[in-house]
Amino acid sequence: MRSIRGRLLILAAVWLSVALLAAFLFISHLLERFVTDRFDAEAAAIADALTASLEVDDSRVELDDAPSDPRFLLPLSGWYWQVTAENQVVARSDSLLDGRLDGPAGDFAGGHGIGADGAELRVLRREVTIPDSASRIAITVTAPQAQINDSLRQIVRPLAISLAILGLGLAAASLLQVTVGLHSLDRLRADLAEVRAGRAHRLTLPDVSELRPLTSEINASLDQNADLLARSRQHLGNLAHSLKTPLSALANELPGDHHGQALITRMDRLIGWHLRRARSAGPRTLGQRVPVRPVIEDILLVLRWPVQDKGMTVRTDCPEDAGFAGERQDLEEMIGNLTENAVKWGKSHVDISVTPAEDHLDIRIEDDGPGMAETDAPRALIRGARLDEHGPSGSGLGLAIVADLAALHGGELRLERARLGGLAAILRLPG
Amino acid sequence: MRALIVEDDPALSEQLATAMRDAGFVTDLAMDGAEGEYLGATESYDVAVLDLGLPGMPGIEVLTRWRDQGIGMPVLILTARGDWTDKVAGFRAGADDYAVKPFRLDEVVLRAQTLIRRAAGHARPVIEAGPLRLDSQLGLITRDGMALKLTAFETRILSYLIHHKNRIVSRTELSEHLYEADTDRDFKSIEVVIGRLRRKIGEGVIETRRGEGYILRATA
Repeated sequence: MRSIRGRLLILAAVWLSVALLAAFLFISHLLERFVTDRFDAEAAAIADALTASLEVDDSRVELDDAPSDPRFLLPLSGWYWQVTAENQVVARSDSLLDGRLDGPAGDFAGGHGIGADGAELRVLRREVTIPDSASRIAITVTAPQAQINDSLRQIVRPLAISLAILGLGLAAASLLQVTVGLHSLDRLRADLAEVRAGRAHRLTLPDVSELRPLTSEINASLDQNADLLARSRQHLGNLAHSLKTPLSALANELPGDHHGQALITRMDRLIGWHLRRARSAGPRTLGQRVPVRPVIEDILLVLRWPVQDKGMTVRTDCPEDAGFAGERQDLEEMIGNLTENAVKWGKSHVDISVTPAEDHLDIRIEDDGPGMAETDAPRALIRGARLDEHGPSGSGLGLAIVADLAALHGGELRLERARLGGLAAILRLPG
Repeated sequence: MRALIVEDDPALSEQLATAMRDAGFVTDLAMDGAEGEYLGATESYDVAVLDLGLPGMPGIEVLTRWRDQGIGMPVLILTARGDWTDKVAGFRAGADDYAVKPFRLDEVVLRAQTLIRRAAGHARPVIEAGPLRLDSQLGLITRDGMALKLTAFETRILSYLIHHKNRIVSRTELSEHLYEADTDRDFKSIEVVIGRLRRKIGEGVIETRRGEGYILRATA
């Protein structure tokens, strides 16, 4: 799986490494040149001094005054000089002992050579002519390569260390940058999760301009969704009304025992069934969280008279914060049908208790009526099982509707024997 | 008893009106929300049957306006959708009962009668007033167990008085619940009918309070 964070970090690591490596190579190259130039300049100064001290005596070339630099006195120090005329050594530094510096002819600085003790040397060679002499005079000055390398190492090490520290700092900075930069995306994701869980209707506009268009688009899409849903609800309601009103007239026009009555009942149920299916088309609508308590109160308001007429006691136990992640209409339909059933079958008591849990909600509605034989329970829950059967309107259909709606929301309806003795309907819904 | 029916479907509204009249109701019919709202707000009814899906002004709106004006008559809503959302919305707006389309006409009539009885504070379908018993579902009035032979108009007056027993009912109030809208209200004929009723059920049950109206005394 690819991640923006991973990509940005890898990219940062790559360009940081390349940049730091290039910087290291460039700076160390500069430093090497600086160091070797210094050595070459020193060698050149020695060569200049030697050249100035050359004299011709009786057409013989001689050195008038040797340089007094102590490094040239120490034997085999690597610091050597030598003056030759016609390939004969005229003078040499004490450090060279009896040795002789040989090498290619010509003028050069920064050449390579090997000393008498096998140590590497940096060589400067100069061919000069002096007045009053026809001899080809060559001056060679060397410096020990090891010393040059030492000097270089002393500079390059701290350079590498400080570049490495710089690199670590930059890496930490880009990690911070990526994290801070992506924080807004994290917030957006959390916001969207809130919407999906039904705890918010829209996303809050982020304070970063790059994410605002995206957020606005998502919000517009959420609004459009809600609007579309409301409008199709409206249309479905109108459709039901325009079908059922003439159906009602037709039912009353026919004699009560006419065989057409059964067809009318069936048509009515089919309309109701498909209406409900269409209305609850999605498993869950974005951005809804319905408090359960007011819904129960509304249902009990509708059932006020049947409850009063039977002299029933309805006990409700529902925490204030219990919420259902879904449509209010669906919750009303489920609680309404189950409560109506309980009031219809119960003798004197109906208990409604709601228990919210981490990610779900249990609604338990029980009565003290005759209950249901265990063999009947599965059948009552088969969706649409009673759809094609005749009988008084709505009888037995309620439980199947509730089971269907619960399933659409990823929940379930279970039927058990109630503590009160009758039927207990237990709804488990997303909370 | 006087009923208002607000239903836009011509066939269904006629059926409802006929069924209500057959059950002894004085019935007015409104074919749209605005007319229904006006009638309900200006006339006196004992019950209203209100369709929620009306052209012009939705039923919920009609009901809300009535209740906002302090009109407290019992209202039976008719809903086509039959889902709980419709019912809840209706009850929140002040409805007292509902019937889901398609419904049986006798069921609507029965519910209307029950609503009237409840609104008058009687929990059971049979209301007793002294020697008189009114079976509000059958529309039958008996005296000491014997069925009274009453005309439709006599039954209307007597059952209204039984519903509102032990309370002075003015002639105006009585007339408002006996006649359909746009008909002449005749206090004289009410007096005549009251006289006839006294002869049928016996003196001393219906008292006349001069300048105030009638009262049906039922100590039991």
